[in-house]
Amino acid sequence: MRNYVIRRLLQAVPLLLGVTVISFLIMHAAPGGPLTMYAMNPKVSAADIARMQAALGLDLPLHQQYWKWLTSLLQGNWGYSFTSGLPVAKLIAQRLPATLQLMLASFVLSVAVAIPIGILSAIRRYSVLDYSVTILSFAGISLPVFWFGLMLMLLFSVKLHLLPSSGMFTIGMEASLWDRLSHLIMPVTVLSMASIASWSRYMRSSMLEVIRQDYIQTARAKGLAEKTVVYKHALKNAMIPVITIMGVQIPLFFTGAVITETIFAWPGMGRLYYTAVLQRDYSLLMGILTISASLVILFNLLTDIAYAYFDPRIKYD
Amino acid sequence: MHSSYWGLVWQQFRKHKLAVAAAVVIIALCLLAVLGPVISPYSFSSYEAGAVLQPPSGAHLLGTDELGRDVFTRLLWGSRISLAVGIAAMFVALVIGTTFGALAGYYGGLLDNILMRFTDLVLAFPALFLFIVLSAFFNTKLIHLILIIGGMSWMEVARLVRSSFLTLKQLEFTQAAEAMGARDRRIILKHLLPNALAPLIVATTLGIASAILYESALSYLGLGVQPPWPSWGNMLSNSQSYVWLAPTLTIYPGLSIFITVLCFNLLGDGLRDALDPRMK
Repeated sequence: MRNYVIRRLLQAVPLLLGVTVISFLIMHAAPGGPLTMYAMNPKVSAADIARMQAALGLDLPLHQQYWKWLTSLLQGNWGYSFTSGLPVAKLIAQRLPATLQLMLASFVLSVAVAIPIGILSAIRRYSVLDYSVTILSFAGISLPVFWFGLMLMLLFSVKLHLLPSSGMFTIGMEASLWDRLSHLIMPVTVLSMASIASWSRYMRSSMLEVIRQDYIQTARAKGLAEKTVVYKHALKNAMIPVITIMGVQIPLFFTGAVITETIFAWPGMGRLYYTAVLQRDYSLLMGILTISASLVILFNLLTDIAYAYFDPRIKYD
Repeated sequence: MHSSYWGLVWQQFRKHKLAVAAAVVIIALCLLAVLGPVISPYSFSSYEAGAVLQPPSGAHLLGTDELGRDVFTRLLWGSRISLAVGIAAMFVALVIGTTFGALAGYYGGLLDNILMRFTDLVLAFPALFLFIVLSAFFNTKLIHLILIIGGMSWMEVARLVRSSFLTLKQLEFTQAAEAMGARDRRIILKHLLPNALAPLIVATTLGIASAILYESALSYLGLGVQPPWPSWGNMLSNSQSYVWLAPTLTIYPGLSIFITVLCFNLLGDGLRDALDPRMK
């Protein structure tokens, strides 16, 4: 197991490097460059722009700029935001916990809901539960995230006044668990919906396929209790493709987070990204892109390790 | 009784009432989209300042929006854009993905490794992040939108084609073609690709569904279709400010997106069952 983890870690390194390269290239491929905002301002002369370019090191050849950026990145200096002048690393560090909280809660909720639902659907195939789950999961993957969030907000905040409509906690109030939770419920529900819908379907079909296998019949013939057969033997094998899907869909949590954070004014990285894009804040953008892609790779690594737990065969790959 | 492959597929497909219904709805939507400008007496941008936020009436089937424009007309025009972008983007994804997957699957080895590593790399970036960046930088012309969305959707196609090719390459008819001296390009295009079609069709249908979702998300964020052109996404974001006065305005565009995407998903699922029962 340790060798497997080390191998996967080593494989992740070139991927991370590639992430930095692509982040960098995207920013510099954008037409106009980082000084577009200034260039459009009639008060700023061409000489000023040239000076700013030299000061920011924008007139160096591309690969030199990349190297400078990469080395500073690894040393902890992520540059400074163009619009606010604050260090990028600080800005991201401020917002990242909020996003991580949202995504983690959403992930946990999705797993906790989708897996049991999928298993139950598979065991009680063609039952009322199965059909309703199927319908709901189709609805879930087709629902636009922003619309769902809006509707929930309309219902629970505007009409029923049950839940707060934005932010992470009520300003001025002391931190209480209920306050945090009530702010968390709607965004997490919105973010989890698509994954719950999709994962429960995969769990169901994977479970169905596994239950038909000969070794399950053998287990039953051996006299094992149905519960053991299902939860110990079938489930472990059925989880394998499901974990793969979960890993593949991790970037979708980031995607969903951007929209969810925008709707619910959640102070996370997604919203920071959005405002940075509108302001053409390149250094901030590069930082956020890099960290998100790196996080995705990290989570994929964790998924692979979980994969190895469920399917010991791949350790010897 | 059909005996041809496609005949059998059609037979199997017909059994899924829901999928057939979805297909009918999609055809109807396409017709509405194409005929939209002809059906409605209004233009999507003509507004009457005096008739703002009207409820449904004889003159305006679904009422008017915050600028006095006819909602039904704008929904129709929105469907044109959503469907066009969804289908075109998927087409782009198909072209790129099939090329990558076919080359990787057929030639294998180092080329396969490089192509797949690159695919993994692009997959690591959360789609919307890249969408947002790319569409903010390149001006929001429709073709850019299509290219961007297509550019983020090809990875799944590439993986599918690659794994199909890997399997098909081992089969005897490929080896026979190689033994007969057929050139690589001929083998790929004429022998392997047609047999890899089934999962591709399913992936395309489902891909159109997600492309439409992405386009509306981008338009909602203000980075997709720009006003005054209506897209279901930007109709939704416009109506947000008037949610107190006219809550139904937020429902129509969202519902349209939902129904369209749902139908494509149902269709894709039905096709998946019809084309390869083993894929259940």
